[in-house]
Amino acid sequence: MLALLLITMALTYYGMRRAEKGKVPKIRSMPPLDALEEAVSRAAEMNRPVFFHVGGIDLSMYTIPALSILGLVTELCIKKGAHLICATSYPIMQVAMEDAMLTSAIAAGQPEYNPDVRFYAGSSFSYDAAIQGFMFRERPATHLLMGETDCHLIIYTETATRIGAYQIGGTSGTWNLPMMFATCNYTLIGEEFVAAGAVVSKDAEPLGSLQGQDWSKLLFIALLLLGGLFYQLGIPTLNNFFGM
Amino acid sequence: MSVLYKREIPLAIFTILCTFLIFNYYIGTPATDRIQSDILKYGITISAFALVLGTYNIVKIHVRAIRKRSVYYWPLSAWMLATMVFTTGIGIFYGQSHPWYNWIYANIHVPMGATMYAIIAFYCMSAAYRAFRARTRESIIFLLPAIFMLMWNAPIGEAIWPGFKYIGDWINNYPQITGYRAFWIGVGIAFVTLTLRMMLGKETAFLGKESE
Repeated sequence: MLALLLITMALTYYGMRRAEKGKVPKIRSMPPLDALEEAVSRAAEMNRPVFFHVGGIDLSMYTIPALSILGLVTELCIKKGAHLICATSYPIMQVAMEDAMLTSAIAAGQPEYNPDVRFYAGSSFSYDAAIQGFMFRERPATHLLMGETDCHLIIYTETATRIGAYQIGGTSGTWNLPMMFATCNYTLIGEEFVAAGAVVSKDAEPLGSLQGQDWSKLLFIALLLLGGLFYQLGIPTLNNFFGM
Repeated sequence: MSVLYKREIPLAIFTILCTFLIFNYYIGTPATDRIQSDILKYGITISAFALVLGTYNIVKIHVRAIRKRSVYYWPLSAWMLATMVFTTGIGIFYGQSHPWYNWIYANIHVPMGATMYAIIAFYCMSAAYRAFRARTRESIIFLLPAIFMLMWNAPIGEAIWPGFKYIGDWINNYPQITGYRAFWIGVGIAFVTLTLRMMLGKETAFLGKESE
């Protein structure tokens, strides 16, 4: 398995170098990311805040792509004049969110920007109650939920539905995907969400890494097909190699 | 110096630790496992220190609300701060086994948590009602397996028609598992790519401000 990991990394690195030399892959547009501008404009027109959070989860692989999206959302909010409010139940995430917002604000020419990140209780149900209360009191026009949370998601999104908020969700897990589908206007699914950082940056090398990712996927599909075929033929070579 | 201090050094620490943890997962020894365990403990300790930041944020927001009386719910801010100080004070000065602390946990925290958990069922119903309206061809495709899975899970399903069990089993064991595994293989590869981008400094949103 280490060999497969190293091959995936090598393919990704090759994709990045290739893009650096000018062969930048064309990435299809992602409707949820395209809809961000509309969502922020709606909030600015209604003079109501945009609310961004990652659910009850700390800084991790599940939330790092969310920080890239938060950077884009901050830029859009500054451009459109909408008030962006973020919330988290983890102090490290709070600092990371403030930094991501400040980085975008500096890039947008507003170094004096004051990020509005609110720390709510660390216990998941207390956080749910705090988010519900916040939504009913401040009635955000747009609810952006980018991260990972289990059954609690339905509390956030259904509350947002009740106050008529436009919702865009993104998750790299399967635990809350059906609920997100059922309640959000748009959803970034799985690897789309993880790739969002590269797509948002629009830089050649991160975009090239996505091509390397696709090559790795092709390799895995070929291995799966070969493994299935070998298994049916009673040849255990490939299965033994992967310790199955 | 600022860039080196704020970005390059944290990035170097991240890359070294990440490489160590990846290789230790595959070819670790008892000695390296101990180092890994220590690294994870450092993470927990740093998180505990960071809690001070969170407390400062809460106090700042609610004290501002009380001082300015800017929002109609400012008495709730005062109540929140009072309960926070009271509970934290008991925990710090008398310990977590003190009867008052246990009373707060068992009679306030637990029932309120259970209340929030119970709300989920009602929200699931309202979300399902909206999602499962058969308005388009896509929503019918979404609806049919949902009905079978619902009847498969509900005890009454099999009593109504034994076929629900077989169809439910098939949906759960084949299309569902297939989609689930494909999803996680895709996400796994995407995580490897994301890790490499982070290690090479091409995904830096988690590192904060580029300049000051």
